[in-house]
Amino acid sequence: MKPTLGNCLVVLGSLLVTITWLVLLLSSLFFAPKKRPAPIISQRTARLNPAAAAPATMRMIERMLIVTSVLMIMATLAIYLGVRAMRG
Amino acid sequence: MKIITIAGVLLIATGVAFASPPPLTDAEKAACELVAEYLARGADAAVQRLAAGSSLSAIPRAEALEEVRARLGPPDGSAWELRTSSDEFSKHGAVFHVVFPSGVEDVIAFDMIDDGSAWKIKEIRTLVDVSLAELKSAPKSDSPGTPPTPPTERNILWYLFAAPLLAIGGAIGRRSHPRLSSAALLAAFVVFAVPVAEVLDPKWTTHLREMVPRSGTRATADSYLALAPLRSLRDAMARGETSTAAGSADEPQREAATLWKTQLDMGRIAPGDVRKRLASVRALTNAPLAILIRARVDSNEGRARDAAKEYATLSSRFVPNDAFDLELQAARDLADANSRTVPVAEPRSRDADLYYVRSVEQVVAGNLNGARKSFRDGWRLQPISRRNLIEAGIFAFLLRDPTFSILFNVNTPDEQKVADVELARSPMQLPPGARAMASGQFLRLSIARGRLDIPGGCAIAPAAAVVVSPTDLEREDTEAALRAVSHVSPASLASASAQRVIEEAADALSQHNRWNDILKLTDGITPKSDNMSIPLLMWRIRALLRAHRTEEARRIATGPAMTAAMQRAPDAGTLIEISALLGAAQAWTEAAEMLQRVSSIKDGPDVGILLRRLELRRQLATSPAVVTTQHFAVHTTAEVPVTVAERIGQLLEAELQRVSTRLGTSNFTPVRVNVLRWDDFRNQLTFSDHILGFYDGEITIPFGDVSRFRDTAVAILSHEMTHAVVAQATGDNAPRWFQEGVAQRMELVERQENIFQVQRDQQFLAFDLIGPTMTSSIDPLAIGQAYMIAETFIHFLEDRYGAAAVTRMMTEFGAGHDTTEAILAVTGKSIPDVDREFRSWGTTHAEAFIDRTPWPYTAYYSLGIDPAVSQGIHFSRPKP
Repeated sequence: MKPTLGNCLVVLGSLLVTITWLVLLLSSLFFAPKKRPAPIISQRTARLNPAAAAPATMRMIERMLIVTSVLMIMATLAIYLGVRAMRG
Repeated sequence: MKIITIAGVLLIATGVAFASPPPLTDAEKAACELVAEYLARGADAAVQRLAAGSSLSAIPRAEALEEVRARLGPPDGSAWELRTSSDEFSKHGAVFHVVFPSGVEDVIAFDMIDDGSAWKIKEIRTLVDVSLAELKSAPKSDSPGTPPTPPTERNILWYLFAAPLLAIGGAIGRRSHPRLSSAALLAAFVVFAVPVAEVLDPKWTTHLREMVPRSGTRATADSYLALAPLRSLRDAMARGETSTAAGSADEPQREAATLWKTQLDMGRIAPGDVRKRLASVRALTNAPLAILIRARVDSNEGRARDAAKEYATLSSRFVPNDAFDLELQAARDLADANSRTVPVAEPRSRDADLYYVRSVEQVVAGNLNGARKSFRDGWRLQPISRRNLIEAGIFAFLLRDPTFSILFNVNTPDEQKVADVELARSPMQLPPGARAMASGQFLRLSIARGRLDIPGGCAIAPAAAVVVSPTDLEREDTEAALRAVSHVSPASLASASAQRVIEEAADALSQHNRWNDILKLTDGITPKSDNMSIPLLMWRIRALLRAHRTEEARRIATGPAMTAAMQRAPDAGTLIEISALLGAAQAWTEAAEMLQRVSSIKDGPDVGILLRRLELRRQLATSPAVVTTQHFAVHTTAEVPVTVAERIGQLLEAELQRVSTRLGTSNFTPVRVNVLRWDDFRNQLTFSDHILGFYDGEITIPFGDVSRFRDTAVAILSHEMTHAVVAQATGDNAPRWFQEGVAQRMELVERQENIFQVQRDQQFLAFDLIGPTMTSSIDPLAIGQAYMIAETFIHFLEDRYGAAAVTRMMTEFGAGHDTTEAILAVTGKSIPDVDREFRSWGTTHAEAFIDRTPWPYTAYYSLGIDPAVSQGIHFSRPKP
């Protein structure tokens, strides 16, 4: 890859995405949803809110992880194609 | 009488204090005893001497034995030499250079410890050893000779795609399938870690494995690279078999095997292949052997500066020693060819060769006093034979220096046997059956089928050591080469080690005139043979030319085998020598191409005059004969009058009759005679005022301008023609001294000089030195003297052993015998004995040899009128 501004941005962006992805991945692992004890109130008598099972931060992390993963795949592909084009 | 001269006497006689190379330390003496024991009894001797705290003593005895065997190599046929190591190391260890029968070499350092009762082995290091710490860090450091590792992009790519995909899967199922999701995310992390590790450390798997202790013995072995798994491979390599695989060894061991194999194959595989093999070595890329191979590749390819750097690195990667100092010096000289300077510091070495090389360099630099001192230092360490001294040429000035001539008296039939005053002052312990020879300060031990050389070791020589002459030591090497070749068949030419053995044997055989044996040994070589070394191809060409198989020689010299070999190692000297061989094989175009390649080499010599000489020879060779007689085809350059060619033809025919009758030869095959003008002869062929004609299969003479064939001119014709007669009668096997002696003797002149008249004090060259003087000396006076001795010797032979003695000598040479054998057959005496008899004869035959018979060629004196015509013309007064 030639050291053009575009290429530099791609590499820097990829690095940023990768670091973010790594942070998100580790966060997801550490903030695993706890296995909740069986509810005291019978399911027949209370309606459970599924969204309440995971906190909002966690949901955000999951979504960001998916997005950064996709970005990572794209960045990898871009760098690979760039290197291959340069080698001819 | 055998003369033993003590160096102490020489010291007084020469009045010069010698430099003192480092004396042997106690540790070095103990190491020599250890190696002697090893050569006699094998690895057991070394294992018994392992120090208590050493790594090898911590492993089971059987494993230690294997490890020692792998490190030291097989003792059979190996040649060990003690090297001079640094002051610091030599206090507690010794370094040896080892050459195995295949030519594979190693440098082995014994680090020792004195436990109060004896010196014990703490560690044995070889050229493939690197510390474990280096093994870990080696792949990260890209040494200059190692190309960057090709990235494993495809693997990394898959991992880089897999990791985010797993992460996406994990994120999607985070709440519905928490456990599965955690597993996926964890997998994503691990999968991502793989390419990261790959980038940071391409050998991370190996290093990871090494961090896991496998067994108890393995843990202790971490302090050295275990070579035991390579023991059988090491043995095979030492024998020259490269087909043995490294087996189930680990990566560093496999790399060690690669380095050994590369070392063995160098010279017969392309430098590109050597570099590829080196590139595949990662963990041992900084092992001393890898550095040594890189240095040699650089040196072979003319990158002397890089080579010098690598050699310098080598000395810092191993125990500092002088094993490769000569190679380092050669590389430095080449790198610094334009402003060659002799290092101010004297070598710290007991290796006499280093001092002799230094002396040569000082002669070249014009520092004759320095050269004298270096030579004397070298001589004290290990005298060189008188023959080598003369063949070196450059030491001619020493031969005339009275303070030196007593060192190596070239005027006595016997060579001096010199021993140092320190001889056997503190004898070492030797296994039974060991033989010891000393010369100067040098000690050679022959133990079982191995050899241990100890430069500077005469003080530790056993009391029974025999003082020998330098020639005796050289003869040992020659005989060893001939013994080694007896186990080699022409079919095994593909092996690098067999090639090396044959090269050494060919050298030895050529000294004994055994060209037919060289032909047999190299019979497997064809113009298309793969991986042939240049020296081997050149020996084949020389032998073919000797056998007059010119066309075959030409095919090999111009064939793909030679072309490939030249691409591997194109150096100017070899190219010029091949060009000369091509010229001798009449492959003119190829010879010229070879010379032109020399001019394309950077800093190469000027080959202009060589090209002009080649062109002149080509012109003569391809020109039609001007005059053809029964036995001679006379070719001339354009300016030479045909009458000259005719007269030369007549004189040669007449002289051939006389010489053939005198020498009892018959069946003379026609010979080409080249006649040139003196200017062309002097300025384009010989570049010397001292040469008046030569025979190299053809007679070449500078008589193009001669108008009157006086006896001196005819004598030169007779001289060169006699060479042709002797060459044909002996199958070109007659040595130079005999050729010149007979040719001088056959000259038809009234007076021939007698060396005993010229040198009444008999201070002239020993008989066995006149050949080397004729071929190699740069001193015209010495060469002239050698010619006179040879001619007088032929007179002596005829007088003492009958007129037929010369013919019998020719028959002996024709049968492929050398001077020693021929002299023994004809006189029943050894060369020194015959020399003594010759000198004794000279006391009563010290007058010039006068021949008063009328000169028979008065009729041919002038070109003028043809003698046959002049005989038919009679001037007489008309009858009245």
